[in-house]
Amino acid sequence: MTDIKQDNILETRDVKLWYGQKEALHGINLNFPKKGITALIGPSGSGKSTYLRALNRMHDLEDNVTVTGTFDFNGTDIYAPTTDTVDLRKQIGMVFQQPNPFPFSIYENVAFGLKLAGIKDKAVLDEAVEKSLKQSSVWEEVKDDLHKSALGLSGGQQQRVSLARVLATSPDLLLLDEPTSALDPVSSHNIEETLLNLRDDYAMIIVTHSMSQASRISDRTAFFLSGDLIEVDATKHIFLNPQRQETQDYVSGRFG
Amino acid sequence: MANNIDLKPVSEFITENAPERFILDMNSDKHEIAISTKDLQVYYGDNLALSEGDLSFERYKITSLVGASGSGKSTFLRSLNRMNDSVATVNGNIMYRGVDINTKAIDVYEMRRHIGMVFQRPNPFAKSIYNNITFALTQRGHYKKQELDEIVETSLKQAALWDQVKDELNKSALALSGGQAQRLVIARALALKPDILLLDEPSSALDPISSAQVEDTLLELKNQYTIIIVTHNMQQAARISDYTAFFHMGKVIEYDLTRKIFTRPKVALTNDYISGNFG
Amino acid sequence: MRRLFDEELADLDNSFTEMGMLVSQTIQKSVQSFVDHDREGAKAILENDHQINEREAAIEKKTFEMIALYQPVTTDLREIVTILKAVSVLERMGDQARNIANSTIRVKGTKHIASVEQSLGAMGEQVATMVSTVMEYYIKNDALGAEAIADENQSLSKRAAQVRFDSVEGMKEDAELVDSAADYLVIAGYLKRIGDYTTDIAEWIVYKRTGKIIELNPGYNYFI
Repeated sequence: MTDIKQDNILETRDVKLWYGQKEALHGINLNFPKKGITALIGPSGSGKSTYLRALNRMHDLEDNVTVTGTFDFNGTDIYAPTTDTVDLRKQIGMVFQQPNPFPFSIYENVAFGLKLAGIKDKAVLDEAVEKSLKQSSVWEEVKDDLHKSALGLSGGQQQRVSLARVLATSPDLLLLDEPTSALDPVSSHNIEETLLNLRDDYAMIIVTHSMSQASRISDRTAFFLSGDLIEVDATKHIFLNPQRQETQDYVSGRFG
Repeated sequence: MANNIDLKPVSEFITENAPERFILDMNSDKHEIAISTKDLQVYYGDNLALSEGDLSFERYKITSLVGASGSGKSTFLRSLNRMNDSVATVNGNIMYRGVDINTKAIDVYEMRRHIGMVFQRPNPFAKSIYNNITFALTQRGHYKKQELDEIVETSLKQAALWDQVKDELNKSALALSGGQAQRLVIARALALKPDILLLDEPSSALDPISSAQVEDTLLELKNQYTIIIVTHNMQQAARISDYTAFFHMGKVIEYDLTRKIFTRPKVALTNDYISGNFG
Repeated sequence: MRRLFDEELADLDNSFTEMGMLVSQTIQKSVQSFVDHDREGAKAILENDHQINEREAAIEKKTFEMIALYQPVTTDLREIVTILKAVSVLERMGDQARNIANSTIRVKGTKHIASVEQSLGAMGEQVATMVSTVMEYYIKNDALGAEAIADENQSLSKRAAQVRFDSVEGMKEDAELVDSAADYLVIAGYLKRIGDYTTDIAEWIVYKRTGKIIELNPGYNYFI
């Protein structure tokens, strides 16, 4: 896969990661274009989530993790000592597997990041909350209940509010770690449609265990196995005509 | 040889008005019924969560229950071995071997030896692999060591886990991978020699490889067990089950052979749900 | 609501019906060139044949992709399978039009039977209309209409039988008609084949609508 530099929002080279002495990523080279959805697939322990979490320095919170390699995000080095991780996570937002709204109102949940950044102007906040909730396709369902607790929402709604919270800080890159695996098919479908609506405006990287989800919504698919990137290509090539036998076996469900 | 080519005039199988429900009539002459429900209604408080749940399940087959969250499928499944007793009011009959098991006279614990349940999250006890399997047995009966050894081996073999754990039966079950843990839980249920195995999204917390292992195990088990599985994974239902029941807003909308449900369901709602058209 | 899938399915549907219309026009033109002894017109058909093949390949490729990426079931699956099967039938119809064009180019006879050529022209019209009609049934999801195509095909077969009879009679009467009459037999055969192909597509339309596999061409072969 040859990516032209100007088109990429993120380029990673020779990414290695150790849990203590154990090397969990063996030198990943992977670039991401400015727009569109890249799916990371692979079995548990393949390193796909580990890699995803390295992209906005989630591993900083864990002891005993060492990360090396180049992470060029829009020309800045993600792991530079001068990089402010709070700032970084505004630009590289993350949505997790379990919907994790804070135990306060829907409005406060979405405005949280902006308030943290010092924005106090109510008009600005109102506008951002509405825009983000619209982008995450949950506005119509919650607009009359903005001051009710986010915990009272259904799982699928909570997940879209979590997404709105991330979108409110205007990130350039969205990381999604199995965002629908805790949801039923209808809620999953709503999230997928939301991501499809966002894909012309955002770069998104989604870790998913659902092969059919990867094939339905992603533009590119990267297959991880045992800490290596085995193959990355346009999703239709990965699902129709992958180049590597390992990929072929995995996407067709032959795990024998 | 079945008739693959239909010779009737086309007008006979065009249904301008698709039915609103279709429930397969399990003619018990042709099918051996393992368990069936009649007039089942489940109330959470005043809220009717499930009604019109009249279904019969064929013995030694896998039946999938599919539907959105809140459709009543898990409520239905849990009613079958009285897991809802403490949280809901369950009216109606659940017929098992000619006996209505939804009555006060039934010893629920004894009944659950026949009708076992496996949950979504693998929930092994914080005990050794061996003791996970023998725990329920030793609580309620007296077994010789040799008998227990045999049960452990048989159950683990049936759950397709024996080869992977036979040398470490005394290790903690908590060290197992998700797929192994789920198969251990299945083995634990099998140790009680149940007749019917109920599974509530048994692989939704697992990655595709572990999930495939659980599916293979279920396909092996159906020679000896009647299996009823709630799943959100439509492809899983299509891959492994003989029958599929589609639940929607507390009702069974369509119940038919899986191959029919996935190629030509009779009810429009089923068609939309099965093909992912949730708009 | 499944935005991406529904859009792609609608595109696929359009490409398929467009190809059907193109094939119908090509058949009509090829018969017309034969009747008019128009070698240039026939050459144009041969030159454009690759368009039909190209469209077939593009549609097949798209159906493979959609099956791999979306694992369609029920009505979606039936629609995609119908297109995948019917598109090869359309391509084979295109091959028959090419065969007619080839016959036009290498035609040897100088003496013709006007009445038979008129019948062939009428058969060409009829079969081209059958093709466009069956495509309309596809668009309207009209299984009963599709079933009725079988009657139309029966009337086409009768015309083909008449062409055979008249051609053979002509050959008996006048040896100079043998070259032309032999061509008439072959062309009538090509047209009859296209008629049978429309019933193949009709069978897939019934499948798409009902999920049942039927047989609309139960072997009343009057000819060839």
